[in-house]
This record gives sequence, structure tokens and C-alpha cells, in this order.
Amino acid sequence: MKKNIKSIGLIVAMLFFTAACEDFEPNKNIENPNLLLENVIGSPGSTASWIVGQERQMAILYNQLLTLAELGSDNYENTQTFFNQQFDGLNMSFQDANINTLAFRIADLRVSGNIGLQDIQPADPDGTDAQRAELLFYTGWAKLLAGELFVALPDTELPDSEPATPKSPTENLQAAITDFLAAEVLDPSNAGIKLALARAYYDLGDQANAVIKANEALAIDDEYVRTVEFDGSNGPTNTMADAVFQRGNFDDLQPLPRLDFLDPKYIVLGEDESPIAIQKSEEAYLILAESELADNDVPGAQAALTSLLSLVNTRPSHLDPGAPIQDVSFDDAVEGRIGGGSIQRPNADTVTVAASASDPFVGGLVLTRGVNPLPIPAISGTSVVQTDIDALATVDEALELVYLMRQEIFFGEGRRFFDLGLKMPISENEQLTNPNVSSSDIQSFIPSFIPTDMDAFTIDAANGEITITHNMNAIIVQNRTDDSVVPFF
Amino acid sequence: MKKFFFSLIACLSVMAYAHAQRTVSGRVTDDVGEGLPGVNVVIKGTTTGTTTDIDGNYRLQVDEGDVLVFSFVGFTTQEINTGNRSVIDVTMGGATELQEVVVVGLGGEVDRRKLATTVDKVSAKDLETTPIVRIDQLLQSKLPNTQILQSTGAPGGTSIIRSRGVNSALLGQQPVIYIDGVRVDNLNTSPGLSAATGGQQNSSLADIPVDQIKDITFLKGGAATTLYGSDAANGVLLITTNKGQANQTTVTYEAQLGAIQGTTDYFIHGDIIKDVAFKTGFLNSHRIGFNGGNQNVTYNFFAKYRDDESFVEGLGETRYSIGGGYQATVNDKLIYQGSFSYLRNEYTLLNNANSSFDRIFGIDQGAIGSAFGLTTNDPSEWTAEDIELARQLVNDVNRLSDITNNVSRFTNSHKFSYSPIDNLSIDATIGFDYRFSRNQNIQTNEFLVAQGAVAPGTTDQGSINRNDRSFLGTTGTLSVKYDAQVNDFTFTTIGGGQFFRTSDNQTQIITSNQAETSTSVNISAEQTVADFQSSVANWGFFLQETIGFKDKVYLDLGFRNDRNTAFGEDVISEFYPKAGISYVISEEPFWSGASNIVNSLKLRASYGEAGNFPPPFTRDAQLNANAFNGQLAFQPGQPGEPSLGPERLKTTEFGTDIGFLNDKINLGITFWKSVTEDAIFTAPFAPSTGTENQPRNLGEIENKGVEITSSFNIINNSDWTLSFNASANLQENEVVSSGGSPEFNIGGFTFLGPFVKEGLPVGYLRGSNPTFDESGNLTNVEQNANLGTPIPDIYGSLGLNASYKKLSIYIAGDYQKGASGVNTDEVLRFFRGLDDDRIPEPAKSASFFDLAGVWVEDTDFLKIRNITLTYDLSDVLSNLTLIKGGTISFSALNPFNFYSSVFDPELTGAGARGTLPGTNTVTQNNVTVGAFGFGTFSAPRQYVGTVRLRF
Repeated sequence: MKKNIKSIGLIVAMLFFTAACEDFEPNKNIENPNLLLENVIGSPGSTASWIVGQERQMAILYNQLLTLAELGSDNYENTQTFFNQQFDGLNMSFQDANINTLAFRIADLRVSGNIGLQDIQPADPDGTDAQRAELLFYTGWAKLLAGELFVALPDTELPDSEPATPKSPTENLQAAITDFLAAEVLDPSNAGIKLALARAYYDLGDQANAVIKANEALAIDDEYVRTVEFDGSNGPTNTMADAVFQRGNFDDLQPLPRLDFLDPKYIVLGEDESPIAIQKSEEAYLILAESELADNDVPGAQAALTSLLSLVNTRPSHLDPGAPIQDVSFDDAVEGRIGGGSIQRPNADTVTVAASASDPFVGGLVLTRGVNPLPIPAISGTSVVQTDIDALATVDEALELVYLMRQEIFFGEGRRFFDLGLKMPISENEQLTNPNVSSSDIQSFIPSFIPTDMDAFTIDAANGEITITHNMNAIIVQNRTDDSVVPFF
Repeated sequence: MKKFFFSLIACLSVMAYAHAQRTVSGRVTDDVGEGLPGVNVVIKGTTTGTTTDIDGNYRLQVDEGDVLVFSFVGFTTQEINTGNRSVIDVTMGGATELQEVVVVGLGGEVDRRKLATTVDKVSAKDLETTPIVRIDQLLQSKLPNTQILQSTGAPGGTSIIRSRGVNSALLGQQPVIYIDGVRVDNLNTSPGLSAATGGQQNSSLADIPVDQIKDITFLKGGAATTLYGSDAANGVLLITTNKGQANQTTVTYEAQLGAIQGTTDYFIHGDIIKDVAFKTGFLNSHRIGFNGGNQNVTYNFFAKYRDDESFVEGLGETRYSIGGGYQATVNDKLIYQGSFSYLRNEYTLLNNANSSFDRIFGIDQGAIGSAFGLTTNDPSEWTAEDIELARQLVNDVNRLSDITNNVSRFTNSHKFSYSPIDNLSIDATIGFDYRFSRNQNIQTNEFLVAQGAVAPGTTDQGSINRNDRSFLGTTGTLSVKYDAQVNDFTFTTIGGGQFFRTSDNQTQIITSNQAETSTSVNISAEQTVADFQSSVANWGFFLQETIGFKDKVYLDLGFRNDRNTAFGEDVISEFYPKAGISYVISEEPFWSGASNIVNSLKLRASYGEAGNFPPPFTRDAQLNANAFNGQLAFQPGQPGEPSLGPERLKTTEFGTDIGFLNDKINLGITFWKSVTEDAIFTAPFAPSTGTENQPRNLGEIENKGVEITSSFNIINNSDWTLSFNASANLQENEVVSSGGSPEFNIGGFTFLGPFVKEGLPVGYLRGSNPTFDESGNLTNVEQNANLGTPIPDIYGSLGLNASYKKLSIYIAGDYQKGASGVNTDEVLRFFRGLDDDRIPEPAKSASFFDLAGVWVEDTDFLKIRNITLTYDLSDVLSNLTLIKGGTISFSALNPFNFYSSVFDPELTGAGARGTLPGTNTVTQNNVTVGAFGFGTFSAPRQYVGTVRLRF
């Protein structure tokens, strides 16, 4: 018996040894399961997937951009959340990690586009000119955002190259135009490329070219919308929808009371996430209107604004068919607007709001939540009505209306930051790793006439009246000749 | 390699010897006449031998003239010539500290006196004092130079294990673990894919089999672990299992019954939480064991069931395990040892604080208020109705939540020891560890309705988040040991090779719109899947030479040469050298005058290198491919670093071991310094390059300190014993160089988190530091200030053993001082208007980003982990024929906590990151420094009674 046990034990152990020997081949089954660049270059359809990657990068980029740009304006206030707390007070330090991340996201979009243009699309047997135009659109878009949002940003070409010298906003915008023009050649009937050019020329104050491209864009499509899409299943999900609607554990942004009727612009329904419009035909009309006013032509501006208003009025609300996410019973009850502590939240349509102490109280801007379905605009909305446009008499009045409409129509789209003339600095990480960064590059830019408490307002609860401290549209118009705002003046 | 192993097998197979032999038997006792079980009895110069049974008896076949060697931990080894005697009884005397034999793994068994490094050893007897089934918790307070912090008190959670500082800014700090020479899964962070519960991460250490341990040896990273090579920088934990004792069959039965209570120590509103959420849970455990054999074959088998109801409805753990160890002396040249263990562990969890489905921690954080229908979110003002409502909320979540972890684990080891000639032995070990876990969170429609997450009546919004992970680790080791003596010199040469491969495959399935009542992922409208694959092979050769001179000076030289698939083909093999010397100065003739006071004195010094290899494939450039709105999205990923190599830990240490008054007092002092060269940093590139972070060998981290261990054997007579041990470990940590790269975040929040920056400790807490004037106004904010370090200046353990006749008591605890942590709960209370007075009233409107510094607290603590009373029942039971003996004991676990912070300084809800810092690359085993007291339960108090009977 004893011997048997020993023999059996030995046999079992040796069988195990033998079986295990196969497992001792060092490189057996050690393969990198990940995708390598060389696997992709030259494969059919690779450009299409690369462009999907750029779309995804736009979602990631806009998640970072919007909370910063909206908080760094009078549109939204950060109550008590983990979103950036410094931008509300326009404390934009070069050490701010969010600024660093935004600069990185923009660079990622640009260098990914460059790889697409240089390595992916030329080698793809299925590659097309339209795809090349699309890749140029993204590289141009990265440069456009760099020019609009930053004091300066380097436009380093590729991931493995040395960091480039920072470029001024003008240089970045001109570089964007170069890319958009190259895209326009490859895809001449693309309204989005025309609109992108119109925007870049507008930003530069190039009135003539901006008007040409705005008109060309409208001629191709006068209801154009280009959106950044999100993926509710696989991510990225829409951070702004979380901040203004879904409100997870700590996410919560509060709109300026006079913009309350536009909030929440983004919603979530099951796996569906609202997209974010980054281009729309409304912009062309706004450029045309501002151009007319720069030429002292108030009636011309009124005509452009009338077209703009009729377009805006055709845009859907969350309740309507054609909305990015149609929710026929949308009532925003989930938002749970409950004031408390330092958080003051008007929540009744009886409340009236004054744009400043010297402006009249206006009704209809604040909504009652949680009672009836709410027609919150899903793409564009405005408080302006035709009689407001018809009543315009002076350039100043008209320009203030243009800027109010820019604010309302682009609400939640990250555009107000540029309209206020603000610029973020180059981040500390860039400064530490890029010898070309100068000490002036790490200073933010805030026009002298921009107050740091743009979100402030007072509530007279007894009378249901809210007075906003600063009418920023009026302030912009008062300073319209300053280089940092109102490009055509 | 394959051929080599076949040859070995062939060699091992051709052996049959026959001798004229006779039997020697006897009993081995201690100095008070008690039989000593488990004493090794070996014929000198061979591997032939046996161990004594439970009563100290042995029986062995010997040849004439054979010399028997009797050795046992804690006793002086004795050599006795058998002559023509057939009965040899032996009384073992207490060994001096230096004479103890310790296992150092690849280096075999060595007398402590020969070691140039310190080695910590824990015996089965020490482990018996602690009724815990987790290896890390079992060792808490028992390893004098190692700090073990439990990240959570819920089942299955991770821990932070640190000895000699934090040597990496990328990789986890837990040691590699071997069971009988086979590496086992030691992942002590969340796996690459898991179902988040908002606070807790699950660890593979939770199910390392601990039910048949003979002893545990811990080798701290550095010279002691050089022979283990490329991943031994954090130390090596060697578990040896019990292979049975010869001559007498023993059946043992162990029963444990206990009560478990959640601690309210760290809550502001602990009374309310205890009232509405906690319960007294019951623990019951039953283990049956068989142990026996003859001089040629011994065995030890067990089966165990353990059920832990935990202290909150919804938490709990059930374990089933069986295992065995066996030894066969094939002939006087060849011994085979084997062991196996199968363990099934099923535990359930709850949503933790960082989850919208938590209702318990939210009470303390001011989250349970009017939104849930209560009159206020301040529990101190709650009415009886509010408390009932809170109880209902807690019950609803806990009753309906369904978060489970099911683990099956099979571990085995086979070792052949062949001794063809005197003084030469060849050991071959092979084995594997296979672990499968399913981590699943099912959110039913009923659950979502009860939480108000969906409208009442909803039946199709449920979801399943299922994460399957399979791990296979295979290890093979071959080592040859040769002893030689030339005049006054002895030479011990050990050489060999080791190979291991780990393969970790994970799959995640998340469903949405799941229909009710089905746990099949098929019954859902949408499924998304993800996988994570990680495999690595490492093979290396080692050689060690120990030269002794007159049995008092020992020179120790060795190296290991490694190749590892994580380095890729471009990297040449890694070479890790070591050198050490020890000098037992008390052996010198001139010492005899002082030996009454200082009976032993050893000086030692060593230098050694060990490695820490990066996660597989991190050296490769890769593309990120993601599903995005039904299409495949390609984006540039990490740029790659073809020359990425291991982190290299270079440790220098010197110290002394001193025995005073015939070892009544033992003192060990070690000064050590370890430098991690080529530390892998995931520091950012220039943002304008748009380049994802890439692990690179950029940095250098320095840890240094002093380890002091002491033991005091104050009383030791036939009725009374009293001993006390204490340790103190002083340490400093600094990132000496960041290679010119910017600092980077390794966890926590961006506004307040652990960062890595040149000139500061790894994971220093960075955030804004506010200054207030006398009126309480915020006058200044220092941005990105150093707010403290999570690494303590000093930590250590304390223990007391005392006995009177059959009754004994054991007390153990540990402490730390000089570290800081973040009171995350208080940040949340601030948001909700329930903050304490740390922020002056006028400053409360400031941004909490600017106030960060106020939430960093000192995290000094002293925790008593265990008080156990044991009574030896042998006399009481001696009248019973069936029962040979037994013990009864009572333990109180975690009875007392003394701490300086407002939160539990040991908890961490932040855990290790699931992606490489600054990237989307999913990873695991990332470094965590803890220090975010948030998110999960503290270790509960447990009162456990244990009865052990021997039949």
C-alpha cells in the first residue's frame, strides 16, 4: 500500500511536470492584444475609423471646454461642485489643471488630425478627398479654438516632435483659415467649412471675408447644424448634460436668471445624450448683422436679425419632433431646483428679471419647474421677439441686441468666453516642458472693463424680482472699440 | 528549457536503494517536558527524515553510524549520533535568536546568524491567535517592519502593504507571494475591469489560502530579495504549508462562533447610523483536519466552512475550502512534497459613499435630507419620524442591492528534493495558481424604483454589470545547493533558475434595459462588452555563494539575471547583484567576559538590488480603439517607450542583532537606505504635443530609515511567562529626481490629491492652503501647496504574550505618526452646510478649491487589533478517551482605536487608479498611497470564541 501511494504520487507529479513543460516556453501566449499604429496604416477603411476617432475626441474636448468657458462667463455659475471653481471669479491661473487639460485636448485633436492627414488617409485604399477635407476641418478647428480661447498656444505638429513656439491668437486663427481653405478646395459645397471660415475671419475682424463666407454658407444650407455627438453606452457622455440636467453626485451648474428659460439645453434620456451644436446657420446671420452695424446700417442689421429670428423660431424644443432627443413630457423635475445655503434659485414664472439696476424688469425669463412639460430650446432659443427687432433705432441698441442674441443662441456652447474678450494662459506643464514659452504667455487676459462677478445678482423675494449686477451685453457694446471685443468695430 | 526539465525528471526517476536498516524512535520534548510536535528529524547529510507527531514522537529508519539532526523553530538544533541505540529521546533547549533557522526561499533554509539581512518570521502558533482568514489582516501587527492598512472593513477589500517606504510612483507596493515555492495572484488593487461600488476595491489577497500554514517568512525588498529579481522590490512573502507529522494519526476539529459589530468610532452621528444601519452579525466556522503518516509518507488534509454575516444587512462572506499537504520520502535520496488548496469565496457588498445609491454614509455627510422626505439633512435634529424614514431608506437599498463577488481558486505545488551525494541537494518545484472571480452588480427595476431613480412601475430599466476575471500563474524553479568545508571555511553554493508566467484575462459585460427577474445578460435590450488582457513571462538564473569563516563571519555574494516579456526584445537581460557580510562578534574568545550581559551580538551589512517591472505592453506604442456610436474609433494612444525597463531598487543596510541577559532582551537595529533608480513616472509631456502620458524610466526615489525591533522575555518559568515586543520604524521618503518632468497626480481629486514632485515625498498631498486673519477672513491662498504626506514618519507594532499555567493572553496592535490624510466626509458636510468650525464664518463663501488645506488632518493612530485569551484544555479533557487535547480561546478583534483625525486614518475610498495616470489605458496594480478617509466601512469589532479539539 505504502509503495502504491508513493508510486501514484510520483506518477501524478511527473505527469504534471510533463504537462507543465509546454507552459514554460517564454513567449508563448505573450502577445500585445492592443492595436498598434503600424497595424492600421494602409488598411482599408482606416480613415473612416480615424475620423470617428476625431469625432470622439471632439466629445472629449468639448466636455473639458464647455464647463470652463461657460463658467468663465456670465452664463453659468458653479455652486458647489467639482467643476472648476476659479473660472467663476475669472481667476485663470497657469497652474490650473483644467486649463492644462483643455490645451492638451486641443493639441490632441490637432496632432491626431495631422497623423490622419500624413499617415492614415494617404495609405488608405478607401480614402477620399471628402475625408481629407474632414481631417483638415478638425486640425483647423483645433487651431480656431486655440486662437479664440488662449493668450497663445504652440501648434506642435506631431506627438513625437519637439514642442513648438507658442502662437498668438491671430497666428492660430490664420493657421485655422489655412486648413479650412485647404478643406474647402477638397469639399467646396460643405456649408460647415464655409461657416468655419466665416467664424475664423470674424474672430480676426476680417469683415469682408467673414461676410462672403457667411453668405456662401447660407446659400448652401440655411438651416445647417453641426453637432458634437456623445455615446451614452460606451462614453464619453455629455458632461454638460450631467452638469445642467442629470446632476450626478456633485455636478450642478446654475444659469444666470435671465437665461433660465434656456436651461437645461442638454438632457439625457436613457442611453441618449444631447449632442452639442458647434456650428449652425444662426452664426452666419449674426455675423451679417454685426457687419451691417459696423457699416452703420441699422435696417440692414434688422433684416439679418429678422431672418435669424425666423430660423431660431423653427428650431425644436426638447418636446418637439426633430429635437436631438425628443422627450414629450420633458419637465425638468429631476433637476430638483432647491435653493439652500448660498444657493439661490428662482423657480417660478412670476419672477421678473432686470439685466442690471438700470434695466427694466422683464417677465417670462424664469420658468416654473416640475409642473408642466417645458419647451426648452434644444438647439437655439432667444427671448427676443420681432417687435424688439423692429424697434431698434440706434447702432448701440442694435449691437446690444445682437450680443444678447449671441449669448442666448450660443448659450451652453462655450462661445461667450470669446465674446467677452477673455483668454486663458498657457499652462504650467507646457511652461515646464517647452523652453519657448515666455513669462507673458502664462498670464491670462481679462479686458479691463470685464468685472469678475459677472454672475452676481440680487433677489427681492418679496416682490419676486431679480436684479443682475452687470448687463454684460451693454458693457461689451460700451467698449466695442476695444480690440478684445466686437471684432468688426 | 523543456529538455532540461525532462532530463531532470529522468534523473529523479532512476532511483532505488536498499540498505540494511533499523528503526530508531523516541520523543522530543521542550525544557518543561511537553511533547514538541513538528520537530524536523533528519539523517545528517541526507534529506531523509521525518517530523515529530502531535505528542513529540518520531520513528525513523537509520543506518548504523547515522547522525540525527533535530531542528525546530525557536530551539537549538541538536545533532545526535545514533550509535546502536533504538530509542533516542531528546530535550530541545531554547535557541538563541541567532540560532533560529529561517526559510529564505530560493536560498533554502539558513541559520539567522548567517544572514546579512533581517528576515521576519511568523509561525503557525502565532497565527492561531488571530481568528482571521485573510493573509494581510492576519499579518497586521505581526510583521515588525511592515505596515498593513486595511482600506475597508467590508469583505474582500484591498489593503495597503508597505515596508521601507513607497518605492514606486507607478506600481503597487504589495510583496510578491509564494506558497510552497509557487507564485500566487497578489493583485491588491481593483482589477482592470470591475463593477464600481463607489468606494471599495476588491483584492486577490482576500482568498489566498491560509488554512494550512506552517509558517510565513517575509523578506523585505532589497538584498534579501535579490535572488527573486525583477519584481521583488516590495519584498517577498513566503508561505510554507503543513505537510503532516509522522507516526500518529490526529483528527482535529476547530469551531468558531462570533459576533460582529460595526464600529461607530469614526462617525459624527454614529449612534443614528448604528441604530438604522448596523446589526450584530454572526460568524460561524468549522474546520476538520486529518494529520498523520509514517516515516515515509506524511499527510495533512483539511476542509473548512466559514460564514460571516457581517454587520450590515447586505454585506457578508461565505467560504468553503479544502486542501492538503503531503510528503513522501521515496528513498534516502529523494523526497517529494506536494500541497494543494481549493477555495471558494462568495461575498456580497453594498454601494459605498461615492455612489448615488448609498444611504448610510450619506447620513453622516448630510446627504439624507429633504430630497428624501426628511425634515432636515442634519441628523442631530432628526425627529423620530426622520429616523424611521432613514431606516427605511437604508433597508430599501441594502435589501435590494445585489453586488456579489464569487471566487474560485485552486493552488498547488510539487517539490522534489534530490540529494545524490552528501552535501549536494537539488530542489525542483513546480505549481500553479488558478483563480476565477465573477464580480457582478445587478440593479433590478425594483431596486431602481425604490431609490427613486426610475418611475414606479418601470420594468425594463434594470442593468447587470458583470466582470469575469481568470488568472493563471505558473511557476517552475530548479535550484542546486552544495555545502563544502575547507579548514576553517565553509562554502554554501546555491544556483538555479526560475520561470514564471502569469496570464490575466478579464471580460466585462454591461447590460441596460434589463428585463426583471433574469440574471442572464441575454435578457436585455443592450449589452456592451470590454476586455482586459495582461500576460507576462519572466525567467532568470541566480547564483549565491555564502562563505563562512570559523562559524562567525559570513560573506554572502549573489546575483540574479532576468529576462521579462514586459521589457521587450530590445532590452538586454537585467542583472541584480548583492553582497553582504555578517559577523557574530559574540563568538570571539575575547567576548566571553561580556557574555553574561550581552550573550549574542551580530553585526551585518549588505547591499542588494531588486526590480519592479512595469505592466505588460506598456513599452509599446499603441492606438486606442473604442466603440463610439456603433462605429470603431481610432485615436493615438501611448507613444511607446522602446527602452522601458524595470525600476531598480538599490538597498544598502547595516545593523546589529543583540541578545542581552541570555536572550531575555533582544534588540535589532537596522539602518537602511534604498534608492529606486529608473523609477517609472507617468509624467506628462508638453500638452501642445497632444501626446498621452507614457510610463518612462524618468525618476529617482529615495527611501531611508531605521528599523528597531525589540523583544523582552520578562518571565519564563513553569507557571508564568510574560513577554513583550515592540518595533519602531522611522522613515523618510523623497522624490530625488523627476527627470525634469512636471509633477503629476496619482489619485484623489485634482483640487486636492496625491502628487509626485521632485523634492517631496511620493504622493504628497497637493492643494490650496488658505490663510485667515483674526476676523476669519480669507487673506491669502497658496496655490498647489504641500499640505502633508500620506507616508508616516514612524510606524510600528506592539505585542504582549503572557501565560499562567494553561491560560494565556495575547495582545497586538500597531501605530503610526507623522502622516496626513484628507477628511473627505467633512468636505461633503461643508457643501451641505453641516461643517464643523474649521472654516471661519466669513470665509465660508470662498471656493472650496481655495480652502483645501483645512481638510487635511494628521492621521496618527494606535489601534489594538487583537486581544485573545486561550485556555489549554488538555488536562480537562485527559479523562476522555477519544479526545487527546484541545484549547478554547476568546478573541476581541479591533477592540480599541486611538486616533488624531476626525475620520478613520486607515480607510481609503480613493484606492489605486484604474488607468495609467493621465491616460485612458486601463491598468491594475497601480500605486496607492491612501490617505483619503472616505467611502467605506471601517474594520468592525469582532468577538470570536474558538474551540480546537484533537482526537
